[in-house]
Amino acid sequence: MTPILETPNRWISATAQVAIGVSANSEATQTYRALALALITALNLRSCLITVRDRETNQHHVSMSMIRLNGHLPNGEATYASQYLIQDGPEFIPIADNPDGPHLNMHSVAAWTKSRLTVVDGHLDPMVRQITSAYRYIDEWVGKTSFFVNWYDGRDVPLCTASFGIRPAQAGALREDLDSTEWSELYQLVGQRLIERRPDPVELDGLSDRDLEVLTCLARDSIEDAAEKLAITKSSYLRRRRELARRMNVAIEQLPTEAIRWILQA
Amino acid sequence: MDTPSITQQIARLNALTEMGLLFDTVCRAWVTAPGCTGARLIHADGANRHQIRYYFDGTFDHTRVSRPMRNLRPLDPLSYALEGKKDTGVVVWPGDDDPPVLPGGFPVITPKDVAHVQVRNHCRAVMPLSWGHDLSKPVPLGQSSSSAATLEPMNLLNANALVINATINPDRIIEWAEWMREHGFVLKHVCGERMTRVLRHPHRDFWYDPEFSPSALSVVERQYLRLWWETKLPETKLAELLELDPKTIAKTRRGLVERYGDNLHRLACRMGYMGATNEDSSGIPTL
Repeated sequence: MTPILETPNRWISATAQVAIGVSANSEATQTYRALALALITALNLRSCLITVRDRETNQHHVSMSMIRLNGHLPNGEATYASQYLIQDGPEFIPIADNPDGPHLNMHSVAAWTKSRLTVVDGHLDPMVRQITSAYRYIDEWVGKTSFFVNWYDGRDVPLCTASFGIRPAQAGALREDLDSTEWSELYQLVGQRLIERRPDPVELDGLSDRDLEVLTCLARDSIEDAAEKLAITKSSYLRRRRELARRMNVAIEQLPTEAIRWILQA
Repeated sequence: MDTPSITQQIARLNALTEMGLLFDTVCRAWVTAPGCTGARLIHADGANRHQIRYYFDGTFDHTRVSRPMRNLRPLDPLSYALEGKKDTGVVVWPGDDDPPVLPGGFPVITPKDVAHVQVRNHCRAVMPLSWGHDLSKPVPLGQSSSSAATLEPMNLLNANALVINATINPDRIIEWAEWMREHGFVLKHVCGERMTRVLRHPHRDFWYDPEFSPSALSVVERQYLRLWWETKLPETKLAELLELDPKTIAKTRRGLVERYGDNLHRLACRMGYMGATNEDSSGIPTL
């Protein structure tokens, strides 16, 4: 990939990285690494873990990318080594079925807050106590402030979570960054790109493959062509159309528009 | 608007529902470069090319959009850039004098250097809107269903590409090349990523047609189509709302069906109504 030129403005640089690298057309590893690096650039982080919702279960999270910055910080400050360390994070992160838990990890707690940002302020933060005691490793939270950024797409479990930690002394600046307009714009862009990449319209849950075929025909074809394509009579097609409109809870006149929305997300 | 903010605006556009606006914004972005007086957005496929946007002197010329042209491969700079200089693009320097050396070793072609390339009489830059990743490698299936179409040969951008042809003032060409180094390449990749999204979508043919020109619709046709798309009311009701004779409405509909087929939803998508929030912003003459 062509390297992106560095610009003095970290927000513009991060936006360019997301705009080019987080794409429906790129493969998963590249995409999520680009996202982690963009967040590292935008927020001057040293490490970032990206996890995404498991496609199979739509319930749990899997780790897609874990990047630790051992070289210079994006703002030019030197650190103790000289390279990015890309490694795998935890393979499987179980998220609780409901807000009351049991939560086996902070990702689960953060997911159920339903907010785009969750901050854990050290080991005394009450949030830590929400993790089931058998799985609560207090040492993990000592001496750092942890941030969990969630992108939701209509389901309970977020589509993607970025998590990173920082020393409490530096947390104030990071909180200010996460409250800025620039961050808000970057957050929106990332969300838009993630949804483009993983279209998963929740309202179509439960539709059979045949229903989806009907939906495609509704968008693209006339009644006659659709009936011919689906090898059914015109009256059967009209009946299926009525049923589909009822199930999707839209007026029959609006059904082709909904169908087009759906094929656009495909 | 300056280049970084217009680049961010492009990144945030929905390449599918805001396609018309995307094309217009891409042209506008390239003319923010110093010395750039105009930009054309061209879609090149194997045999033809279509000039889908023509932006000159600060405005879009809608009488010149979607003009299909013969592809003169490999005799024209556009094919030359697509075949050999996809990553950087080329500057075309007409005339007999020696071209200036551009910062960063930006490639320049002249009639002397590349004898077989037909160089016309204005200085310009031909920029294939490529995207940083290796386009010849198909994206693994299952990452996104939008990658399903990448295995079709016609989707490889070698054969199916969008190109910016920007007219440059030759006196400011050095300044332009410096802008390219600072902003242009990022802009090129951001545009390329969005364009790839359009060209690789499995259902792209539904709303993208390089020969379709929104300006070809009359005012009454636009009024009718827009209102129908928003309300889906029957013709008699639309006639009342538009204060037109029902016969005029029926005639308008028949005219559209004859020219564009009976799927008015598809036509509305090609007009950009699916994602439109403000029709004025597309630069297309309004109602």
